Amino acid sequence: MRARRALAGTVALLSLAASPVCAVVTASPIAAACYAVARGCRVQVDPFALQPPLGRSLERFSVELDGQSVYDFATDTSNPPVGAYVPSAPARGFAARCEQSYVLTVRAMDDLDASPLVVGQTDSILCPVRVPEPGARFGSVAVVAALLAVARRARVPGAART
Amino acid sequence: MRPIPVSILVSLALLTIAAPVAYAIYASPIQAGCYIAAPNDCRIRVDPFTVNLAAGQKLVHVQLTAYRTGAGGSVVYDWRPDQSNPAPESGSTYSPAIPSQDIAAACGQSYALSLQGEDTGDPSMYNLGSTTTFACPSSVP
Repeated sequence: MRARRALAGTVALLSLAASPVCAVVTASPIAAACYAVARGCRVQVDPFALQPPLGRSLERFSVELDGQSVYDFATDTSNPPVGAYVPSAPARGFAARCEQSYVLTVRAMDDLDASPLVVGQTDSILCPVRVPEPGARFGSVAVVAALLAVARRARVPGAART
Repeated sequence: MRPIPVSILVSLALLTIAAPVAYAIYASPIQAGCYIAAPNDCRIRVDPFTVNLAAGQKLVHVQLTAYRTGAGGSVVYDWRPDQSNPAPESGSTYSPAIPSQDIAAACGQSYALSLQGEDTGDPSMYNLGSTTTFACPSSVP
């Protein structure tokens, strides 16, 4: 898992190295997915690299789902990254609503930018259907079984009615 | 014996006060952010960092302090090495494990994170770095 992440980070850095010199923060391609967990859905973004322009340093970046921030990241005040930087991915991914579609946007700014700029964006990502909780499944099975029992009792001639 | 002029005494005293304490410990930059993991469940993610010590020194203490805007700071991560075999086992760098589930935070609040450390050559804990303020999301989009 760690090796795979390191490889993904290296690939992100390499793709950044191939991009032309720019006066704003640039990012390697941004890719993300939405998946179901026990209680809801989560969005996981693949490792990406941010590159501030030459002579500038990365100050902050954020990840947004449909324009709403889900991750706000700040760099070191006295030693901010001056080269390409690959942030580590949050352990749990970002909370999202199942069956809803999101566009994931990464904004970043360097020490000379007035405000964060969009450095990458995905197409619309569809979160899957929510996985039913085991308790809820048991509950619904119990309700159906009770209804069937009532119906059977009603159909049986001579069955005692209480 | 001639008395020492008061001006020289005062200058010496000022120099003593101004002389910085020689800390042998430093660290790689500290970078962190806050994300929403579930409704009302926000977490601070700290990127891996490395503490560097002077040759022959051992690590005594590492702490992460979260400063919530308007509420002051509190220690959110407290690290201690083995008493009889303190880290690092060899060399002069050490990277403490980052909490696998990240650090709990309050959604809708803003924080700055700072890293403090101390090695066997330091007189006390030393501030090794801090982030600018970052905001925890308030709700699930």
